[in-house]
Amino acid sequence: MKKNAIRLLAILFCVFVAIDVIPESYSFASRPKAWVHSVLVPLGLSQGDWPLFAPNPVLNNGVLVAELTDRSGNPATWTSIDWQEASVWTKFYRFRHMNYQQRLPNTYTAASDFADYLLRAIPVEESAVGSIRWSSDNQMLEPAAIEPPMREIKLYKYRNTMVLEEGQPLPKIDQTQWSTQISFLVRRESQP
Amino acid sequence: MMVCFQRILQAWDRFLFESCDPRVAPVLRIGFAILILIQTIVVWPDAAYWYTDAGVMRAETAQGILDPGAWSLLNLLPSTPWAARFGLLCLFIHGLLMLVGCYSRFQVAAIFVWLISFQNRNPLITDGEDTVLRIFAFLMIWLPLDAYWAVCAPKTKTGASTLGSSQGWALRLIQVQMTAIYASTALSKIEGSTWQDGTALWYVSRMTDNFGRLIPASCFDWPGLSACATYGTLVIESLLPIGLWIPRFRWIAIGLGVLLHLGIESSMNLFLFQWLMLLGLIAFVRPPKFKATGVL
Repeated sequence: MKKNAIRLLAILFCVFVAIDVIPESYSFASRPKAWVHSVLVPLGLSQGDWPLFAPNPVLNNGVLVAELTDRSGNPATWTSIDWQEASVWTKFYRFRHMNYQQRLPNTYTAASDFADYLLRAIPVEESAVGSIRWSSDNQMLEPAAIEPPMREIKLYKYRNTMVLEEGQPLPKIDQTQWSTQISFLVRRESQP
Repeated sequence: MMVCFQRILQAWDRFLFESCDPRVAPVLRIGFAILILIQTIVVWPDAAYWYTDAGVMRAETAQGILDPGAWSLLNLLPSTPWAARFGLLCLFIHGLLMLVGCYSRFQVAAIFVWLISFQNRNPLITDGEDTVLRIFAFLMIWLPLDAYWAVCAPKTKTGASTLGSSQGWALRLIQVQMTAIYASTALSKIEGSTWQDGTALWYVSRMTDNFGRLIPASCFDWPGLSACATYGTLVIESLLPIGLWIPRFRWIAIGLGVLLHLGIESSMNLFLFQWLMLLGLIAFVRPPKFKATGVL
């Protein structure tokens, strides 16, 4: 009885894993994959395929930037960790933050939650800096001190992408030209 | 028909019950427990940040992102910092008890449940490493983890271990899991244009957020090295699913796997993923002088 149960468990595991890890691009497997996945999710054994820099590596360098308005209408800016400048140790113990920041732009509801969190957390738990202001006669003014609570937030992803010229050899690291693409993620206002 | 079925069953039994060395299970136990402890300690200061409604993601949002059927014990607890820390504390204690070998199969079952709970509470911070941890936890439930180097190691009158090869059947499933990962990633990579033209690792070296430890990105400025590393990675990942299963080539395959993962570890910041994969390769190790007793 015990041996039969092990045999069955092992067969099911092997078959389900074999189907679950078939790459998404193999369209013939999409239906069995979807079914197997739905069975494995409640069991906590789902995994999906393993692209790991495939089919091609996707550059996801960049930072999250939030433009905020405080209670008095003064502008402020919050910026996430710049991983390019972070130490190896920081990248290790804050690895979850890196994962989170790289994935957040793909999920609107999660970005909304994060914006709400920043509205609550700045300036006590998260630090932001006052931004330059403009007077009514277009004169540049020094940043004002942030007055909590925050009233409004606009969240952006600043993604650093490489500028590559077609037909030219790939540039060396110190000759690589980078451009920044800004994607708007979400705008939120604090709840009264 | 019946004869054919019997033969298939016998072959399956040989594959499952007679070919693995359960003596590596305690090694897996210790390595796995250390990784669980490191992971728990690292995430502890951010417990409220990641796993409560006052943090960056509400439970409702997490449920919306996940596939139907996903569950988390944290959704049954109040969404407060102490509840998140309670869960992490449980995970830490189970990890610690597993490390010393105290009812490790129970500990790893509990770890499996907590890993699912935390991963489903905030799916945006998880990656492949968490998936492997979770699946290894499930498979290790069925292994004789406390056979050696454990405070709860079973004692016999003679002091000799009663381990039989039949007790190592879940090692086979860990081997299958490892093979599936290598095969899946190799199949995905073969389709990519940058893997075909030898420039994939040049692009990886420009992932400046993750890249840069002992091997600087400038090494990949030289097209020859970039192509070598790209094709080398592809060849190793394609060969491992086969080489790991052929006894004659197993040690070479394990060596190539170790080389691959240490190479990635020395160049990229991917937390514990490479160490977890190295741990998985241990499942293929078959120490000498093992006599199968076929006990079940």
